[in-house]
Amino acid sequence: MKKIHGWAATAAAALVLSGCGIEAGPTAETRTDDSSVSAAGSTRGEVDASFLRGTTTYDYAQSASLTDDIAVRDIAVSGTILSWSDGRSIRDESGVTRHAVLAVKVEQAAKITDESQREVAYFEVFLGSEGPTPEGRENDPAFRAPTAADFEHAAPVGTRIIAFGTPVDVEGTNYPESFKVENPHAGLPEGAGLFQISPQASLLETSNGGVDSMRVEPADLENWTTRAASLAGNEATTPQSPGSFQNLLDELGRSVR
Amino acid sequence: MAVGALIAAIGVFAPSQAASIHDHPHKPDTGSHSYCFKAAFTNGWKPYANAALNNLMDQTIVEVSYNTSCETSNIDVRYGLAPPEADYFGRNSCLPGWLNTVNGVDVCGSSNIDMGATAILATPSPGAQATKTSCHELGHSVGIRHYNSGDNPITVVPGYPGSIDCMRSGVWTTGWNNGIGEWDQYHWHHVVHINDWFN
Repeated sequence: MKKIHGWAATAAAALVLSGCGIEAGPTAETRTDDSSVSAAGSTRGEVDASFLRGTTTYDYAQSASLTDDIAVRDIAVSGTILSWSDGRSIRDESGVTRHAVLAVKVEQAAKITDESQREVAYFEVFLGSEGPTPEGRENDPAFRAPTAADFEHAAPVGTRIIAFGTPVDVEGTNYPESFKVENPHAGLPEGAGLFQISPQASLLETSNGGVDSMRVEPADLENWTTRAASLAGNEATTPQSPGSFQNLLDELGRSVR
Repeated sequence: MAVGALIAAIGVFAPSQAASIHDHPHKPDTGSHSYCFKAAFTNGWKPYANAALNNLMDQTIVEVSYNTSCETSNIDVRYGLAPPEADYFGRNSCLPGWLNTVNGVDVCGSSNIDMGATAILATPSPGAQATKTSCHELGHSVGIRHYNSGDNPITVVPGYPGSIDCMRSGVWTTGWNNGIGEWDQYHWHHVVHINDWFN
């Protein structure tokens, strides 16, 4: 163990004053305790965006508003969830990264790359990365990523959605040599483009008319909902506010061509 | 790969500030923090990860240990690259099966860090961005979160309003040099959280 810096020890008292709780760590031998991530806890019909986010966090370039995000994406649509399918996987020497294909029945299109996207648009959604398993547990399902069916449970067909994206190199033509793309066109109709769903603009309407994101925490949407409420002239300023999803939908509508 | 050579050619960047707070949704297991580099994580990227790992050891009580292969099952952190179309600078994800509840706390025994080469190289200061994001994602792996997430922003820390550390999300800008602390390090508040967990 290294020594603790003196200033850090002094700072511990300030943590207590700031109300920031500290918990003791478990010992290293707890590592092999392998109870794992449970399936989506929501009842069918309710959106559970936290399940879709899972344990994954991103460092990314935030847009200040929904309108600003349109400018940096190749596709920007709204509509309802049409289907979830298991998509392509990317394998490397230590595991495999799995994706779902999310089909959106488009109602508003602010930006598209093909006229077919005025009807249906396809987005790739990260399901999870699987790594090496402990010896003897190669077939243990606890070590597998969620499936598209799990994601559908957390974001059911018919859920209202706003989805922006950037194009995916489906076959991995420009990928590093150690990446092997498996089932590149899985879940995708022939000739359809696939778009990686935007961190912030992966927006689902919650049961009370609020909004949540499939990829980032609701706090990352606060600037968006504040701006959309200002445009709408109402008080639905936070992601949790009833009506905040509709405000964002209305903001998107200003850019529809 | 070309990105490795490109980023290796990036210039020097001045350090600047720090900030922080709050626990990540999951904590790491304790003991030595083991890591490895995947094959796609070419030599041009490794200095940024090594700088982050060295900083973690310098600032905290955490010890790190290098594994030559990423194929061992219980490695704490695997550094790799995201596919070129990735729209993020970095991604940290606990691997399925490795998230356990221990004494009421979610503990991750093995995670991936995927650096978004294309997104990083598209920023005005790719070297600073790679440095910040390496530190940022490693920070998640030792149990700390974005300082501005949730209900406990850095502004509530007495005496450190508006300070910045590497757990700040987003595009690095020269403006990050104008605050308190270091943007390529962890704020003292984060350091205390890390040390308390590993102690």
